[in-house]
Amino acid sequence: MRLFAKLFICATLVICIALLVSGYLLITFSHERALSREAERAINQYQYDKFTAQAGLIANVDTFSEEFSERVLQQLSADASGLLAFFTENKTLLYSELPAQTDFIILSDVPDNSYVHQFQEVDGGSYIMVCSKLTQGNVKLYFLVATDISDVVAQKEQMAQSFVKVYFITLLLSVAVILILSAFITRPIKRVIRAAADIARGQYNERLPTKGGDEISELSKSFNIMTDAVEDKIVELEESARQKEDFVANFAHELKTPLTSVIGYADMLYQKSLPLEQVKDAASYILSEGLRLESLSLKLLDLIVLNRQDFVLEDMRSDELFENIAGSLKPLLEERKASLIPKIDPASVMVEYDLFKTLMLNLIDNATKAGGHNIKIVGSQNGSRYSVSVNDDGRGIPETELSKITEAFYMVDKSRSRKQHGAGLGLSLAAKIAKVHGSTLEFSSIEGIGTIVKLDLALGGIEDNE
Amino acid sequence: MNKQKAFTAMGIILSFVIAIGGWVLTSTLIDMRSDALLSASGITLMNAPDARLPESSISSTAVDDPNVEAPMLPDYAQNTDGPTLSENEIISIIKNLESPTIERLHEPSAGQITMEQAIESGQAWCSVFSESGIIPAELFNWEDMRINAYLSQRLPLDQSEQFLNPIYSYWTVTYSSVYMDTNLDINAVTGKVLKANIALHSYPQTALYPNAIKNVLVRFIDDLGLDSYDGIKTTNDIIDLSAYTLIADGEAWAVVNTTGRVATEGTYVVSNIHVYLSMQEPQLYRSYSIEGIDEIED
Repeated sequence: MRLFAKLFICATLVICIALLVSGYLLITFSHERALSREAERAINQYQYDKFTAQAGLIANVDTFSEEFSERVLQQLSADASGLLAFFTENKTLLYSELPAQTDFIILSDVPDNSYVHQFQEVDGGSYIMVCSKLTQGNVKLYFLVATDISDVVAQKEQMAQSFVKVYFITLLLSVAVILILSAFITRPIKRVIRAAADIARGQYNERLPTKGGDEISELSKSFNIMTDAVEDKIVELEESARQKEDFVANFAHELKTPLTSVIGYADMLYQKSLPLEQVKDAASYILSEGLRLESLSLKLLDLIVLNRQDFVLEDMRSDELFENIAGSLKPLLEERKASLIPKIDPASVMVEYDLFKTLMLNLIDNATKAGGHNIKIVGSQNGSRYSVSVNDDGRGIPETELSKITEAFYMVDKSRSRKQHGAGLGLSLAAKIAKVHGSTLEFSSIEGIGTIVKLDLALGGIEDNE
Repeated sequence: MNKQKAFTAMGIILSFVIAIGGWVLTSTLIDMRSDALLSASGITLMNAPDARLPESSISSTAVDDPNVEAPMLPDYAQNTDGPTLSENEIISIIKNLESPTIERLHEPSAGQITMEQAIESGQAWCSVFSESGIIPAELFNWEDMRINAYLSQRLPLDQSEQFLNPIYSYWTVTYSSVYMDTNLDINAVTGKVLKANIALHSYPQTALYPNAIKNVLVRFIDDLGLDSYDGIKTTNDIIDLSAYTLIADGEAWAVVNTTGRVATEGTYVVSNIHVYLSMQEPQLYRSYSIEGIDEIED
């Protein structure tokens, strides 16, 4: 059942019950009070009537004491306020102004020194009868006065009829008001339903107004908080998915260079009969690149997916580091007819070996792809840091592109990059690796001349023995 | 959805059934309650003041045993027997009658006179008017009069449920005939008249002289056991012939006030006689002097 219908039914029931209970209490209380007042008035008036009757008996004591004189009683009744009846001490009717079929049940118990009153219907009318013993000299009678209270009963009937009209009119008006109020109360809830539907369709910017301090306002606030949380979670999930995609893309990208070395050296072993020493060198490079690849996959996972930045940097000799890098690139350089010209000042530097090697390989790979044939790697101490730069004599990068080249998947010349199996991820990854080392990549380039890429490393603690 | 609509429709129908059924039930309950009330009965005791002894000035004839006969009325002429009220009690009674009160009827309690005694006392007291020549004796034909009486007390508004001392009760006795209506307030313990109003209708030749008025006043205060404090004064006016005096050491007034007209030289035809006690000085006309009407000296 809809909330609107539930509200309507509950409110209608409450109003019905309240009206009926209050109507019942009002009418019965009013009627009871009216009857009580009539009883009190009747008793007060009875006292007057009793004194009057007694005075009449005193005045007619001579005639009355002989026999119960109807004439005397008739005279006495003339001054009374209601309908009179007189009974002997034995409760025999002497005189009565009431209808003949009246049942005087009031006489069943009339204690001395007391007034007994009884409500009774007589001949279609409602009366209150008051009775007591009347003694004057030797005369002992029961004296009864009946007062008509039909007006009081009629008044109660009128009240009941008026109540019915008021009840149904009030009920009808209440129904109309309840309908309007139910619609008014459920309108904010419908707004929440619509908002939830919009969010389900992907409109995460939907928010509800939160004016007021009632439960609906609190629901709206909670809904907005929930929506914010959902939106954040979706962004987070999207970011996470994007990162996973980045990882897969970067990993696939990074596979190429080591694989090129591995394939190159393996091909060399396969094609040529090499001396044992060269065979061992080649096998060593194959082994180290394979191991690096294994290590690199885990580090790329940390770097890209987990956004981990707290890699442990190790002390390494700069000359040994770059010699190793140059050795790994030998097949690639030979393929692209490029040469590496290292000019490395020996020093101790803090690097994460696998990641830094990946960075350098990416920079050098880019340099060769840009058409560079002479690639200088310069390493020198610069104050408290160790500067490294990669200079190529390739085609250069337009100045307008320099700010974008570290964005993931960005390629200056897409068609050429694709031909060269590029994905636009290398410099993006290199920038992240530079950040791990507490540095950033600085690019300067002149089209047609070449590009210089700089970064700096922290100095280590190994002293130069030379 | 159809099920939901069916439930909603059922709920709304049920609401209306309850609304109408509830009204029918309430109507039935109201009628049942009314029938119960209209066949109810009750017993109310005949309340009366406690039969306490009034102040010590009341003589030994006062009793508090309801089975003992009511005290004997005093002989009016002698005015010596029977219970009397002290001046303080009379002052209290006057204040009670003049303050905002509500009248409550009651049956006589022990120590209070009966209706018959009150009627007889009143009849005896009225003889002062015929003795003084104010109203002819033949007008006081009691057998042709309609007599009515009731016993009551005037209770303070905030104390209307509890009766006062029996001395505050009084019989209001009315004697009505073609010629006049006499209304007396008679103290229920002593049987003495505290107030009298006589309205004369069809007997215009009733003459009235200042001395007669004085006699009425003297008999009135003697009967109550009171003395004039500073002498009896009279006023005379075209419509007002009155006598009054201070009583109870100057604390209250006893007044006989008449209204009427001057009929012939030396005579004053009365239409109303008012005899009463009051804490307030009477507001009587004093502006005219009637030739031939003697000034009353103390």
